[in-house]
Amino acid sequence: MAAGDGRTDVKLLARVLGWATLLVFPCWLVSAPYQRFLARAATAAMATVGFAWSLRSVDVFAPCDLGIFAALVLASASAPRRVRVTALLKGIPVLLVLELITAVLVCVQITLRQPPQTAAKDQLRTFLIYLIDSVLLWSPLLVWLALLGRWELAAARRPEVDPA
Amino acid sequence: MFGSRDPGRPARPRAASLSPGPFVRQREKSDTREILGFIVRFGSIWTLLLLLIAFVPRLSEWAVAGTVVSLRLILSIVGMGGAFSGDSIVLGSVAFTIANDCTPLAATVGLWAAMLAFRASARWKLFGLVAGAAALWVYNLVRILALLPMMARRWSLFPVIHLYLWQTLTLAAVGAIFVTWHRWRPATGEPT
Repeated sequence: MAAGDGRTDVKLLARVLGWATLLVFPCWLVSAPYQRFLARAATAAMATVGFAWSLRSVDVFAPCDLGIFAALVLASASAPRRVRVTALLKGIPVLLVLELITAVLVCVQITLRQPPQTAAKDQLRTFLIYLIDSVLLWSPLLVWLALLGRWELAAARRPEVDPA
Repeated sequence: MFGSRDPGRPARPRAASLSPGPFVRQREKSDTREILGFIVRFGSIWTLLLLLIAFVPRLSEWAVAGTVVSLRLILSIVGMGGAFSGDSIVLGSVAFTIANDCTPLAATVGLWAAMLAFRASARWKLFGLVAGAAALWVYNLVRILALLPMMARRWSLFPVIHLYLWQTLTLAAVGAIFVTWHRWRPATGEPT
């Protein structure tokens, strides 16, 4: 490991926290209409496979996942601006697709509540609940890692020069 | 003479040397492979661990019971003994139930998947798994105790704080624990 590795990690974490603090608030402000929109999109997706029922809203982490992804990209000072803009343009559609999949999983999870109840159905529902709760929390980090992780790794490898 | 180099002057860089050399390109490729490998390993381990906690309900039951016992202990130490009945706790005007979501199980699964997917010695991974789980257990108790005044006074804000603020803070806590574990990693002499 390079000498500057630890300091780079901590600086990056501090920048991410700063940007996330700024971005999560506006995300929260638009969360109710955004989640209603996601529910409508999931309802439409489920209707195409023959589930004709309506979901009014989904209680998921969206759109905060987009805010956290943007915070990670903005905090990645190691990558050039052009690369960061490209990462935003590529990463946001990926996260939107993941949000839609999560909303569809919410529909599936609700469907599994219907009788008859079996142990296998209950366990599958528990797994889906864990997945729904976690996937939008982890996906911004993984998408960022896939798009900009190489730059951060290269920066971590460069030894920092002590001005003194 | 034309074409000969003055030995006293540094050579001018040629245009070809401005583009990344084969070593740099090879390193970039190897970094990309390493990162994508980590993501695939993380995703696989994470899914397996989530399946484990979903299909072995005893783990969730143990986590819920452990959280209740820990809260009872803390509240009795600070002289705020509430009424405990199974998973339910009544504390003054606040009554709540510890559910699966109130345990640090999901966050621990994420941290464990990251640690197991990362290249480190088996001993260091084992240390990280134990210390990380303990740190997240303490973090989760602090999270629940911090939510209690909000439940008593500002119930309308509770879902917002619970879903958005604490989720984000949990992600930050997992990230900070992982970075700390990575920083304290003993040097192995292998290049990374």
